[in-house]
Amino acid sequence: MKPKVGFFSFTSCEGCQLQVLNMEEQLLDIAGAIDLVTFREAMDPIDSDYDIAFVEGSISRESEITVLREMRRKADVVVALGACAASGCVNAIKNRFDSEENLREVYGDAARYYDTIDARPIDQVVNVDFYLRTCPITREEFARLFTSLLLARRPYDPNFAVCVECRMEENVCVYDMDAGEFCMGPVTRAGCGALCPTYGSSCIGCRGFMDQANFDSMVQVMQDHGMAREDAVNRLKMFNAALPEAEEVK
Amino acid sequence: MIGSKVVSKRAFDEMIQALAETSDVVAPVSRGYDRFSYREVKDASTLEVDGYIPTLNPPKKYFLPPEEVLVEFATEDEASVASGARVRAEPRIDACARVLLGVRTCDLKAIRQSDEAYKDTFEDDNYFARRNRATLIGLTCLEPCDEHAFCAAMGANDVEEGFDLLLTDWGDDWIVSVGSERGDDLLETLQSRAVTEDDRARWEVLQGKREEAFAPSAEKIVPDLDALPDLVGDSEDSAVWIENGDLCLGCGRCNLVCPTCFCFDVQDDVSLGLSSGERKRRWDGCTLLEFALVAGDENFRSDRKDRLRHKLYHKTRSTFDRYGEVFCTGCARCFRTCLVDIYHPEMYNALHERLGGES
Repeated sequence: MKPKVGFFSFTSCEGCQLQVLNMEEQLLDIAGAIDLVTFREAMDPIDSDYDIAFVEGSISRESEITVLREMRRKADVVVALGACAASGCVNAIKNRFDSEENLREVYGDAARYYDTIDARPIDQVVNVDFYLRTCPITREEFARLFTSLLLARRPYDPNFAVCVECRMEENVCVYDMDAGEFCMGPVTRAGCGALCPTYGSSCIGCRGFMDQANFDSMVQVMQDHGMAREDAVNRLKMFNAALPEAEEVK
Repeated sequence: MIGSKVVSKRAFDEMIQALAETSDVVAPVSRGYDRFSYREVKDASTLEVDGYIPTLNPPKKYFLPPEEVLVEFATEDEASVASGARVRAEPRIDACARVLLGVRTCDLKAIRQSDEAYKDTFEDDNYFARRNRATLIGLTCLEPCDEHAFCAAMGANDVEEGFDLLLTDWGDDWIVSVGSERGDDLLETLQSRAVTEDDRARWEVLQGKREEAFAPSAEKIVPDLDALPDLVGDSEDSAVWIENGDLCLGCGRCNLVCPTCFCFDVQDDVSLGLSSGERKRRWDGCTLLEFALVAGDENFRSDRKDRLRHKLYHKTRSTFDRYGEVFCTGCARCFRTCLVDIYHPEMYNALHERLGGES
């Protein structure tokens, strides 16, 4: 029997759902392998149980907690779809400021109409089985996770630094160029193929931290290359302020 | 040892140009920022590049690519139904003839050591399909490439084997050592002359100069090369690992750029239709957290310091016991890529000193 699949969206730009819809040549294969029950970006909702729930977005309102918990009860497997759901993403920058002040700054007089809480990845509310990282997710990675689920295999989810993939690409390290780029590859989870450094930019940490990331050394490296300590800390927290490990970044 | 023949640089260059028309010729090419990579070239001009330091990735990338497909598999096609097999699997080996030009002696040594590892237990078809079609034209360094190289301490600034041809700069000429039949055949196509007594006298002078130039490189490591296996093997609980492990980013860069690191990981990628797929291998490294992770989520080296220690342990104790040699060439790629300046010679010296050795 085909698995029933739902796509859900919370606080996000919905770009990760779009990435799935962008898999044009493969959409028929995907649709053929599953029974699609809910897809906010593509169809009206159908109330149902789910074998697999792909959840996009961070949780930033009390009402979202209720919906997410309900969805978790109905789903066998929950997959965090993209950086917002997996690590909180840029939404969580707001957590570092006073909430009242944020509301006034953004909504002015209408602030009182908005219920808002610290933005958090979905695994701070419910159990999450698998993660698709990156802002936005890569189509290749979605395909790989999707087939792993259908085959009941543990998906490949690299837990090593972006530097690994950057060396495989044989890029000149941005720290060797001293071009004013401050790469966070050494503490960021790989899986993106070191996309940003390969195209002349530097890693901004959108895939979240790898386990056992050495933040003290990372901040020191950024300082050694001319970044103020405070800026280095801010940069490390840009996508990852909601992660518990972010507490270690000082 | 002095080479057997002398050929003019011009004639040699013409031979390379001709080779480049029929097969891949690769050599270290500048990437800017004082960094180099093996890239395709059309002539031998890169042999005399200024300021050369070992390439970002070592030439192992041509024998063990960062990622390669090992097996292609498919189900439910006509052939597999006819044969009664549920899955049809075909090995895939991508290989081509290739000339590696200007390979430094450190890398020649590393290639020879990799060859050992890849024919240990069984011969790795994919590795040797490429390796056996490669022609190695080495280049002798007249001085250390920079102040970090410790090749002389590892005995890798001179090699006697592991090349087809080995060149030494001789002004307008190259002195050429022949290391294989293939090298001999190549040299046959060139006009050359035998080395003369004059050449030998000049060679002795050159060797004296080289010895002087490499003295600092030889002194980078205080204990003897042969003492390293015991030194590292008996230092499991040393504070050296804690100090360096605290500093280490655990990013794995030192593994990936190491010419003698040969580990890989294997993963299957299955197509969306679930009817076909590929088994791939890609570079892996023992300093990475999940390298020693096994079923049941047990991790034999869950601390960064243990992984760093293991890396040196494997380069010294393990490879010495298995292959009779320390698997390090002193190329110092690990140091140049390290963002926190962890330097193997300093770790060896610190271990030596703490065990009461003379400094």
